[in-house]
Amino acid sequence: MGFIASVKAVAYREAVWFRRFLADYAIAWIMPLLFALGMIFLPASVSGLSNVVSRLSAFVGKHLTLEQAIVFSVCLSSVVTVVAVVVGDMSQTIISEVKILGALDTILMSTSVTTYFAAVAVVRPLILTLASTLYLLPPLAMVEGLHGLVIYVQCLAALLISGIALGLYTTALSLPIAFFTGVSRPWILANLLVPAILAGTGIYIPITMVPTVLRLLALTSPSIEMCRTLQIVAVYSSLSRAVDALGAIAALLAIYVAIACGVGKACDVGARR
Amino acid sequence: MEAIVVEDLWKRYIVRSGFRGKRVVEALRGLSFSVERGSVHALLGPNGAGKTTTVRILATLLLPDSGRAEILGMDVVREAPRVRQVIGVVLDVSKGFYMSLSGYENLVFYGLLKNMSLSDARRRAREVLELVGLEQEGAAHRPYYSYSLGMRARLAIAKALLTDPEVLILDEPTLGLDVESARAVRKLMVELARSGKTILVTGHNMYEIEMIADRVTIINRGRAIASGTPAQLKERLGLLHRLELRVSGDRVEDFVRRLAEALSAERIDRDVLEGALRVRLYARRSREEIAQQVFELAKAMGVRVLDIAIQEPTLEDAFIAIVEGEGSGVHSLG
Repeated sequence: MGFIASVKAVAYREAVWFRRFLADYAIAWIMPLLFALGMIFLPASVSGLSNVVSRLSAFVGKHLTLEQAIVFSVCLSSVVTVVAVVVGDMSQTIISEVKILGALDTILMSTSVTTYFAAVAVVRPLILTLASTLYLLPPLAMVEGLHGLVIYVQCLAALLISGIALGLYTTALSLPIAFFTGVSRPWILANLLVPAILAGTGIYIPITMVPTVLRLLALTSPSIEMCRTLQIVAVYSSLSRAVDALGAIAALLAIYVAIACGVGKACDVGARR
Repeated sequence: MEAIVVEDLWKRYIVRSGFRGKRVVEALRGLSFSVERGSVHALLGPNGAGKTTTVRILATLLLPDSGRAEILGMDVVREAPRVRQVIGVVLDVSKGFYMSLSGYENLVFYGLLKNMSLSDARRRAREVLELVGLEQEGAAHRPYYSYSLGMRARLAIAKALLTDPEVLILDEPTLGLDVESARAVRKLMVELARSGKTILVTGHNMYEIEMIADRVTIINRGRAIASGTPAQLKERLGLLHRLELRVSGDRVEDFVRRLAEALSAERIDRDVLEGALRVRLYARRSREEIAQQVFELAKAMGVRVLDIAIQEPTLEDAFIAIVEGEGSGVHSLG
């Protein structure tokens, strides 16, 4: 009863939850799309579209058309969704499972804490990332046609890798809190971590304007590199140009795997003693 | 053949008290008992006696400090993965399930976690839901948060039965249930034992335990202080039988006096009710002996017996006597 069994169980539960919480996902699709379009059209209502597009071109260092500006904005909005859904949902679920639902006994009776949460850290982010970023496909296809689909696939690949890294990051942080502290409100970690990571990432605002403490926190997560990868894909339509950012995410992912496994083992021993 | 063997089991907890303070709690202090295959064995004891700790060790959720615990010949520490394949456990009937999943979905999730294929998990989930009566009630596909406590208890038993285990370990499975639900759970336990499953059950409801258990082990302060069938526990205590009689006739006073002498009655209460004498006496004799004496004497003295009731000591009486005896240092039973 190992990793594969846990993967199957978690995938089944996630699929059921996706069906049950479709309305929640609809919110997770509509809100970032509104942010993304608002980023272009709201300032345009004051200074005109061409002015906004030229300022954005100056920001990314490449001349953009209106369509490319929309693609850039929409792609970047997925960072908000993925961080909010993966970090928020996973940390809340982990603390709930251990502290509130009493699911820990079920897990310990079937497998080990390490195996189960390793499966959770890999499977949940994959499904959550895929499900929460489905909204990218229609606007990208509408604006860029077939090329929009290519951009979507590249964005999705980057998001999935980043999502797994974020999942492991969240698991490594949530497990010790769930097992070794008196924290019993599942939303505490999510409510603090998600805005801090997003602020520290410097999404939509220059990173130089972000307070150092938030930048340091964001540096421990893969969100900065994830943001950089998406910018490159949106502007140059090429994932291969983001190879150094992806490499950094992969390195972080390896570190998170080591930490999450160590923490998982400590939690398993702690729970059985 | 023994299904569960517990030998000299010790478990200590370190409990935090305050910010810095720590205190050691000895939950088990050399607990030993065994459970025969295909029987219902009850583990009784006052709060804090070590019942749940024992159950958690047997369920492979907790590691003992020392001692040996085996299920179907497999050590619960060294062979924990194999033990998990042959046991079904109910720990807290209102926990261990995801609120937003239905009972059926919760069971399929658990089945997959237990390495079943998706089709097997689905089939088995339907079977056990039918067995515990949740499928018939149409509750199987409702979210878990809408379940009553009784339905949650039945779902917890369904989960324990999902892998068709040979041994069931149930920690207070009827706690907090209404009369109807508790009766349904009891009936289920008896049926499961009849089908050959070994059941170790803990609980506080003595009436319930007396009805379903083949054998009982009473534990207190982490040690077994008595073990046997409910009848043996009561008999070995030598508790009194209470005889209640309603008699009429000319010689009823003489009858009562001679009956009290014959039974060596320890206490007699009497009052007159609707022209008949109502007698209540306590005798340290068997039921058969008491009944025989009453009828023989009544016949010989021409007394009419209008009503008779011989009450046995309950398991609760035995439990209280044993635990109190242990508390005062009297080890009445081994």
